[in-house]
Amino acid sequence: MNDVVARGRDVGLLEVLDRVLNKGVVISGDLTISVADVDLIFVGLRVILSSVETMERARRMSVAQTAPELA
Amino acid sequence: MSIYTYAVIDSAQAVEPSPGLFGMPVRNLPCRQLGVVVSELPGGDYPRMGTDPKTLQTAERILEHSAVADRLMTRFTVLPIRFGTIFPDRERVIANAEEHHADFCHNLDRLRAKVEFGLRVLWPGEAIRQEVESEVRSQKSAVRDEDMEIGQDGRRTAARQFLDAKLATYRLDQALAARADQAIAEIDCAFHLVTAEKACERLKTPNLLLSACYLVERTRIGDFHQAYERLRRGRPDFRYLLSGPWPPYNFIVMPSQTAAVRPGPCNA
Repeated sequence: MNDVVARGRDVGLLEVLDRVLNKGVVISGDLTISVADVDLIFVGLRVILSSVETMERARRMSVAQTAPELA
Repeated sequence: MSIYTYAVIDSAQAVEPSPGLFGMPVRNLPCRQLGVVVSELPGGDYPRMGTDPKTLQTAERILEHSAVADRLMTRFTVLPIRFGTIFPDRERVIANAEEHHADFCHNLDRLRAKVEFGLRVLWPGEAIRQEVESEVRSQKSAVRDEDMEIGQDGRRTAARQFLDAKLATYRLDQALAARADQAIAEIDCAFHLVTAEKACERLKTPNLLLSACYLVERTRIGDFHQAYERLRRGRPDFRYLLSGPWPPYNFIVMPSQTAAVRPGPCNA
């Protein structure tokens, strides 16, 4: 195999995403975050925007709770 | 005005002026001996963010967030906060920091003067699978004929064939895992003396032998690099992707986080 090594911080956005989106301190709070024009209200829950997939899942849950007919 | 949070640091002093998300100036909100580094989000008030929410999670914003944590890391012990954590006002930031103060102190003490390195090791997954497969195939069947139903014509029944196939797959998976563990043990050995903690995953994909994060004391960064070079020379058949130093994203342990995201030994 070729010996390909990437060093330092020049490893592209993926390494950054892996950390910034998925790791780090997750703190609690009662926050409102608006994503894609939908206010997501989490009271006393962990609040994160961890990924598009997570946001979509949260959005569907929020819609299901507030307007089940739209879910 | 909504408040965007970047990191908890081990200082209540003001931080050097620098840009955060959307170029807004970063500042430190003191909470006893700690601080929460924040910036205002432009254009609106809680509860509805004034910024176009669709634009928040872009590469540019994510890199801005990461850059703030990187800059802080040069002067402080940093607990980076996950991207996208927003509070309605400063008072709520402080109140939250008070609530988690003990956890923050515990993490800051544990991670003081330490940085994180990321290492991904790729091996020739398909070639190794074929090699292991031929080894497994040569092994004698562990399923005894007397335990199996044999048809009147002496052929293996469908049930026997099914179990044989299951057994072959199981053996292959076990042999591959053993081969991976052996290789990972070599890597662990290389870094054992120069790292404080590790968090790693084995074979996330067939080619990705190891995805690991190592916590390294600042004073041992040189030793870590030397260990890495020795590893590369010792296993030139693998490919490596080393990144860092990073703030210790993967080594923060908060009670609210599940065991699955806590640092720990390699697992499949």
